[in-house]
This record gives sequence, C-alpha cells and structure tokens, in this order.
Amino acid sequence: MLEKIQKMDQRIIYLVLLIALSFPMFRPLGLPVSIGQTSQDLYDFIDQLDPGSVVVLSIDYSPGAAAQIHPQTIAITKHLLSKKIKIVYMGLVQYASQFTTDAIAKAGDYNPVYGQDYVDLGFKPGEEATVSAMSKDIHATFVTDSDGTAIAELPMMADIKTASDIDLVIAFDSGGTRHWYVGQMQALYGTPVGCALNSVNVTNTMPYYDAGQVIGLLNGLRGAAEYEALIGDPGEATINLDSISSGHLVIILFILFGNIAYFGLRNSNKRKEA
Amino acid sequence: MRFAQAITLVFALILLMQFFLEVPAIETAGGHLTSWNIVIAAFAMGLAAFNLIRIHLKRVQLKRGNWISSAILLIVLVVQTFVGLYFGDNSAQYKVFFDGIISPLGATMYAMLAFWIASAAFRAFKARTLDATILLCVGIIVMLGNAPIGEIIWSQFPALRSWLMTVPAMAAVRALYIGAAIGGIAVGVRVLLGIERGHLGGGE
Repeated sequence: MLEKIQKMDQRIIYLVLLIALSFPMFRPLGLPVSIGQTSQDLYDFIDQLDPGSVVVLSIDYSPGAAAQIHPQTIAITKHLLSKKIKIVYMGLVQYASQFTTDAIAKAGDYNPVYGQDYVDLGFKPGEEATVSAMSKDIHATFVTDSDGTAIAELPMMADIKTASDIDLVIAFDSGGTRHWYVGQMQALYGTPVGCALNSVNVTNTMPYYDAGQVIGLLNGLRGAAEYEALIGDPGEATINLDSISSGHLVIILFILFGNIAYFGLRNSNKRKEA
Repeated sequence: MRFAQAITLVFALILLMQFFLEVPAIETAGGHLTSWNIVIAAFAMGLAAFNLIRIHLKRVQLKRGNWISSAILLIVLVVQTFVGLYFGDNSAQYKVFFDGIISPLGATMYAMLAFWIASAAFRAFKARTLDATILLCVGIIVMLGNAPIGEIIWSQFPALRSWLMTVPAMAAVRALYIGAAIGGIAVGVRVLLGIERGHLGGGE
C-alpha cells in the first residue's frame, strides 16, 4: 500500500489538483480574508492622497503573472478613480498598454476622461535608464503616449514633468522593475514607491518595506483580494482566492502522504533487514 | 581597445559625477547618455528580432530539427508585427491576438508550474535530514499563512508566516543584496580602471 502511494502516477496528482483548483470557481467557498499590514499601508497611503494628486502605475508584468497581478491593477485603478486622483500608466514591459486598456474598461462607472483623468504612456525600453531619465524629465523620455499623441498636448501632463511632480509610483511587477524605482526615484528624489507583486517576489521586496523605501505592497492574488475587501468591491481575486486555499491544501496533503509513505517504507525495510 | 576603455572611463565618470556635483554641463551630458541608453535598448530589441528571424528562417530553409515550430514562429511574428504597425497596438485587431494567443499561452505556461510543483513536492519534499525538515515545515507554514484556509485551521498561521518573512527571510535577502551591491561596486571600479574588459567583447 505504502509503495503504491509512493509510486503514484503523477497524472493522479494532476487530476486531484485540477479538481481542487477548479471546484471553488464553480462553487465559491467564501472563506474570510484578513487584511495584511502591507496591503493596509498601501491602501492608507492612497486613501490620504488629495483629489488631483498624481500616481504613476508602472504596468510591468507578463501575461503569465497576470492572474495574480492584473486584479491588483483593477482594484487600485478603481480606488484611484474613486478618489479623483490622476493616473499616469506606463510600462517597462511590452504588454503595458494591453493591460492598461483592460484595467480602465473593468474599473467601473467612473468614466475617466483620457488626457484629463488618466494617460497611457505605453511601453518604453531601456529598463533602469528609462526610470532614471523619466525622473529628470518625463516629457523628454516619453515624447508621445501609447497612441502616438504628443504628451505636451495632453492637458494632464502639463504639470507632470519630473519625479518631484509624482505623489506615488506603484510598480506592478513580476520581474525586477521595483528595484529600479526604489533606486532611481525613491532614493534620489524621495518619491514614494508602492509595489504590487506576484507572491514569489514578496520576500525580496520586504527589506525595502521594512526600511520605509516601499510604503506598502500587495502580495499576489491574496493581496488583490485584500485590496478588493479594503475598497469594498469584491471581484475576480476574491473568487479565485478560494482556489489558492484548496490548491495549497491539496499540495500540503500530497507532501504529508509522500512523507508518511517514505517513512513507513523505510521503517518496514529496516524491520525486514533486522 | 584603449580608445574603447577611455570612452568607458569618461562616460562612467560623467554618469557618476552627476550624482555628486551640481554642474549643469555634467547633468546635461548625463541626461543625454541616459537617453542614448534607451535608444540603444530599443535598437537591441530590433536586433534581437532580426537575429531571431535569421536563425529560424535558416532552420525552415534547411528543414532542420523542429522546423515546423520555426515556421509558425515566423508567421506569427510577421502577422503580429503587421497588425501592430498597421492598426496600432491599442487596436481591436491587436487585442484579438493578445487576448486570444499571447495571454492564454503565457497564463498556461505559468499555471503548469502548479502541477509540476505538486508532483515534485510529493516525490522530493521528504524530511530526510534536519535541514530538509526545517524547509518542509517553513514551506507548509508559509503556504497555509498565505491562504485563507490556513487561518481557519489555526488563526496564528498568518502571524507565523509574517514573522518568517520579516525576520529570517529578510535577514537572508538583506545579506544577499548587500553582497551583490558590494560585488557591483567592485566590478564597477574594475571597469573604470580598465581591469575588467569583458564588456568590450573579444579577448580570451
């Protein structure tokens, strides 16, 4: 029996995990979500900003990480629009404009006016050099927006010229762009930086948070669900978080079964040898 | 080689000095150099695309290896580039490709990790040694602390996870960052002094 467990066909593991992940999508479990301190800090910082403040959302994730980070983008966009905060979307990864368009479309009935309430500067290559250059002169770095319109023609951009004109930058990051914002904007110009990350990147961002260089951060899908709870608008992340619960539980059970089988077999072999 | 080294030294000094000296000429020069970096990065993307086309075109011509995949790559590359240039990358046409191909493929690649991790964890995550046992326990605590079900099993899982993330894990990450930063400074000084020449290409 123990040997059978240890040599279990991996397709059975795949099937059980698939069922565990899919079931809550059809029958949500509605498990309560407590709010983590890092999410609360980011929410509080945005909530105390005055209407008309400027927030840069750097959309730096790939489609692979979108399941975790895109719900964060939507939730934060909703919060910013509800507070009448001006949003500058941009990206250091090439998918920025596609995710921006989708986030604005899913943000609800705020009807933001392009050029007055938000702009989309699109993708700009250059990585850390781009962050450095835009900190000194946004108009020289992003000459046009993602549609090719000169940003000098966008009314909202008239007063947004350097890092000093930005009240908060949030890096929606599945790679390493947050390090550039911390290094080139927060450290040099004191511009507050927040992060919205996939879970795997949280550990290596905590030193910035602890040092006060990152004012708050969202941790993967859980962070998105926490933010949805904070703005009182449960959405995609809240539903999908149940799948995380069941998925994690199944993986832990497999690990435990694997260990029980391993130690059971080892003891039985030892007894046979004795 | 010496000329290239001299250029490296001059440019690096300009970029360094702009952080320490408030001289308008140096700041302007530093700004220009940073812009050049962005332009070079944009050209590098074009060069990468050109190189990709060259390699896969050759493979298709010679019908070598998995040439059908190369042909598909080239077709998609040409079609997507055409749609992006002709209709614009915010157009409905581009969105069809993004939502219909790029997004689901990327999500699928990432989602498959969950299945591989589950299978690998079942087979390899065994408490064979003290180190492995610690890793196993910490992994389970962090997983349960990150999922709402963990709080239902034991209300202290999130607090325990938070402690693990903010004390032992953060100490390790800080050590890593400080080590990498010191290493970066050392490499920078070697480049400035002309000891490190790997970036100039060629050599042994």
